Amino acid sequence: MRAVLNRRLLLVTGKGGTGKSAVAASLAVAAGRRGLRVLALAMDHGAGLARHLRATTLGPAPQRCGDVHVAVVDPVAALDEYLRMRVRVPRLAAVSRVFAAVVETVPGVRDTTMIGKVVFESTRPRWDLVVADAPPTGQVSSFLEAPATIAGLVPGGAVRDQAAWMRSVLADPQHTGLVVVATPEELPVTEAKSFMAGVTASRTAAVAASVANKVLPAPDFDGSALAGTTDSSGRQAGALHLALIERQQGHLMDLKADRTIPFLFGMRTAGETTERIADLWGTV
Amino acid sequence: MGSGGVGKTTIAAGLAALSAQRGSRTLAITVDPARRLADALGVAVGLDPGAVAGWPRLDASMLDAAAAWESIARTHADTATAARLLTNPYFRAVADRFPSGQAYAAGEEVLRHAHGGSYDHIVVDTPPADGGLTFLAAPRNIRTLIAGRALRLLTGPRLPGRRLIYSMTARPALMIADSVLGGRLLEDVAEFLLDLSTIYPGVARRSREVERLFSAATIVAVATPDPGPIAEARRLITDRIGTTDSPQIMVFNRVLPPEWASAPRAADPIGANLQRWAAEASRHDALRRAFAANTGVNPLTIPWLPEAPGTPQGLADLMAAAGLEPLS
Repeated sequence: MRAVLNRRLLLVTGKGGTGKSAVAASLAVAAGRRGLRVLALAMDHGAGLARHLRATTLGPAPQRCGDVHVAVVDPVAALDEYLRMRVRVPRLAAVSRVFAAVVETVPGVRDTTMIGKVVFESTRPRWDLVVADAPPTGQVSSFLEAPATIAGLVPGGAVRDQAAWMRSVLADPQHTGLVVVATPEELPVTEAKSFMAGVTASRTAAVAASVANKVLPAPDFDGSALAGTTDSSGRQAGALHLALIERQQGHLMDLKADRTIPFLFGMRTAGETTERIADLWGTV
Repeated sequence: MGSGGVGKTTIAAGLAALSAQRGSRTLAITVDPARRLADALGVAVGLDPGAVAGWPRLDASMLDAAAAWESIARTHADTATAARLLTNPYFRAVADRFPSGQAYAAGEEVLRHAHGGSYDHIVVDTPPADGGLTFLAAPRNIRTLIAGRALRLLTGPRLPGRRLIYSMTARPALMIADSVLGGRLLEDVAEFLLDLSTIYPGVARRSREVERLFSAATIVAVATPDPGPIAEARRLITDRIGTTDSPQIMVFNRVLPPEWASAPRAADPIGANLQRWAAEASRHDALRRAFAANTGVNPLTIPWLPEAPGTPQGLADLMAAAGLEPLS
């Protein structure tokens, strides 16, 4: 399998609570350690990505944070930037205000603007790699399909051409890869699998890796050893571990993940979690 | 309320079951995909409240986003406008994707049941977006959408019939916008917003009632003992402190026993395993204490189980053991 980091754009998704932001941050950090020029982009309010990269507050302008740069994708700021570059006109403020209003109102425009910004950054020579902490699996399809949606609503012109360009960049497996994160539980695995089947069928983007996160280690004791112990907390913890492992096995078999990240016991901060996971990416 | 994957639906179902068990006529409504609530309660959950088998005082129902918007249009617009709205491509797009619309529709639904008199308690399982803040802000956000910036910028202050008059300030912008977007997109959007604006008076009135209902509601914020979910829950609780007299309940789900942290460990594989889990248990306890110290709200804890109970009875027992009393 090709190295996950060997692309220009990685879109990290997964069901809520699976550790999507941690995985996105860790990929960015791992690439940064290798000397790549990396931009990590949050496609939500950015609090999760900021915590995992030990950044304070994130804005739409890339700021340096350790070995990487990080920013949030703000749809209004992104649209403004697009208009400044593409439409060299006076009275831009008025145009932008009207466009901003449209962004708020027509969701297809908002989604296209956001994914468009991510795609645009990934083609700039300034970055070797862009890692996006993308929306959860339930919502990310509407972003990936937004360029097609908008092309259906708009009869022609610059936006339609842009939409076609975005679709081709997203669909290029050399350029763009999806990283789909799931914890070994029923709903996250079901969501990850149906999402991957959907994008594979529609060819909107290729899957670079599926990731099983928070995977518990195999125990070096069994049920009979537990029954024989006098240590009651040890027995309870062991029983929970065995019961969780039993369920975990089935879900891991179902997911058949390309990469596995272990459950990190007692990790105090999000930043620490990121670095531990980045260590793992360093070895692949 | 809470972020994704924290066990919101399980806890909503458990609270509803406990409330019904204690004698209140209870409705559980999910705005999340309905299968989760159906799984938790062991019933088929439909758009209309359906009874949970063996539980005479417990009903469950779900909310469909697109259907909810349709009902908003039909309730608040005349027949012709409603028909035009429902066939407009933007309406479908807004209905599917504007989370506040879905949340607002849930609010109207809850209001209807609250006034209907069939239920003593209604438990709402909110969508995970923003940990629930979007849901609480929905009544205000929907007024902003319908009478908002987009409409004012695209159209003049007066709306003479169905004829679209762009405002003078928007006109040059629209000419450029049309050349970029290559056609009538903005005009179509403006037409749509005009139709939408006709439902404003009805929605404005009802949304204020929903707002009052929400401000009197007890919020049960759910988080796992992890920094992200806790930050969302904390935002939810601190945003409401001072704006309501209703109780704020914080639930930490999937929590390990704090005594594991300091329990003596044997020098064998079981003791070595306990050492890992003790580190995790100690982290959970530290987060719980920090939350109490920072917010003044002491979290209730639900133990980490290999699997959530599969029956309403099991769920109700779990909530009762955690000290989650049915709401008064």
